[in-house]
Amino acid sequence: MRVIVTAILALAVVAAAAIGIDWSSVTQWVLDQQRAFQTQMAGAVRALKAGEPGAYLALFAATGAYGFVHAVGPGHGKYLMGGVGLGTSVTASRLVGIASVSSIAQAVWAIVLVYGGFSLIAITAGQMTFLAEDILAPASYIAIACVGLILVWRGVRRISQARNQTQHSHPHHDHNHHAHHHDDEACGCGGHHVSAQDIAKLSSRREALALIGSVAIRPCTGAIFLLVIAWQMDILLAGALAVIVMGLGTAALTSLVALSSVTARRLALVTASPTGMQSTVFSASQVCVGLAIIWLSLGLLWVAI
Amino acid sequence: MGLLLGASPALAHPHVFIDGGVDFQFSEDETLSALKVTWLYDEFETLYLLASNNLSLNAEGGLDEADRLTLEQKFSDWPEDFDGSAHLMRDGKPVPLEWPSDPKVQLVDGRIQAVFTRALETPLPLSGGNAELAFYESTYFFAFKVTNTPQLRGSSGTCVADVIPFTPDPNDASVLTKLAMLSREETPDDENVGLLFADRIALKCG
Repeated sequence: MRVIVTAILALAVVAAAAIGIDWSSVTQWVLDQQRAFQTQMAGAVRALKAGEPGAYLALFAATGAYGFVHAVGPGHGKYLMGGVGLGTSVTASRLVGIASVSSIAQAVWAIVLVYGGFSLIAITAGQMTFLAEDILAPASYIAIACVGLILVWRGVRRISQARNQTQHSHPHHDHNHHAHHHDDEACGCGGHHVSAQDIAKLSSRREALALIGSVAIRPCTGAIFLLVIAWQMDILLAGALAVIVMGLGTAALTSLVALSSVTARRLALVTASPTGMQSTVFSASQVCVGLAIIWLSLGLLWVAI
Repeated sequence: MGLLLGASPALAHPHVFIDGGVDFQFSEDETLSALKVTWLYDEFETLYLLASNNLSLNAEGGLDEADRLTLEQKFSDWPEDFDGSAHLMRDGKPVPLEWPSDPKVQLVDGRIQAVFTRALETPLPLSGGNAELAFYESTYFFAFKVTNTPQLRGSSGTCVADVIPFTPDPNDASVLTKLAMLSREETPDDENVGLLFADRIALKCG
């Protein structure tokens, strides 16, 4: 019974993350805030150009707040971080690191694109927006869908491995688990389980880079706008720093999501009964999260092409 | 382009905020002949508009006459897929409008304002009837808001215009949830998302 309750709880958490429940009330607020910070950014840019003291500080305050508030509107990177937090056994600190690095990488990529594009190949602002919206955005969706696919594949593999294990070693399996591995969510009876846990972990550097890349590949439109303005007004350094600060604002928000998704997963698993079902619940939620990520990103890809 | 609607990215969450509104020109007895549309860009988009056209504000924070004329020229050159912002409806059917004409650009308190005319393809007699105008852009990359009181010019007779601002219905969270569902950068273009959040102007005659 407890298993069923836990499974339902895990699914509810996944559903909440995927559907975006509770966001409706903040949406209007987000739009109002975004507009206010956008206006503040414009004022700070003009003040900076006029050489007013304190203009740098005002600009960074505005862009940092803009990055944070803009990311409150459910963003794709956030779904991904939340999904990975729920659907893998990644640690909170590691996921916060990944979330932060991807936001900052996204900002740096925007700087490279705009400044690089303007100085090297004389691209126009319109072409820049086209590149971001019509080429990089779909690329990002595909990359994110692949991450979802990997989650599903891992979950399915874990479930089938667990089934094989139960069939082969049922009599002593539970006993072993109780006796020696209370605090380990995937018990370690033999090589099978170790490898199962290994693949559930987001352990390799390559995987972390894939996650970061799938988010960072697509620059934020607000950042592009600011960089175009900075380039033309010849305040290159201020523009670049301001966009990095914007990325830090976004990083703060996505880190919050990363942290809460890992906490939610822990809660769901802690309340699972100690009969070895934790791993099944976990695998099932991994499959669901993966499917949700695939569904969302392919949906966006569909409308993008 | 990227300057005008239609050339905007097809998939987007509001990044540009435009205030303004629509005035109504009547030719003869309560017959609507043209709309006068006003767009007042937000401060940030004003800077982007200038920058993306290699223009900038002068040292006094104003707009030089030559730059103003350049912008006015830009507003004469509309993209093929221009979607408009003033959507006029009569009995639930769209009323066809001519291409924008007679653009006037100026800087108002650090914000670019563009005013242009959209004549009705066929003048519309409104006596004893009504029409509705929705002020929006379909992909919602541009968030429009009616901030000006609509003026009725010419032989408007008994006609009156009332602004109906968009108000989220607290009992129907579906609209806001729909917006919330969409990522901060993407909005589908197969749906008229902008219409869901549109301010409207109700026109009633007689």
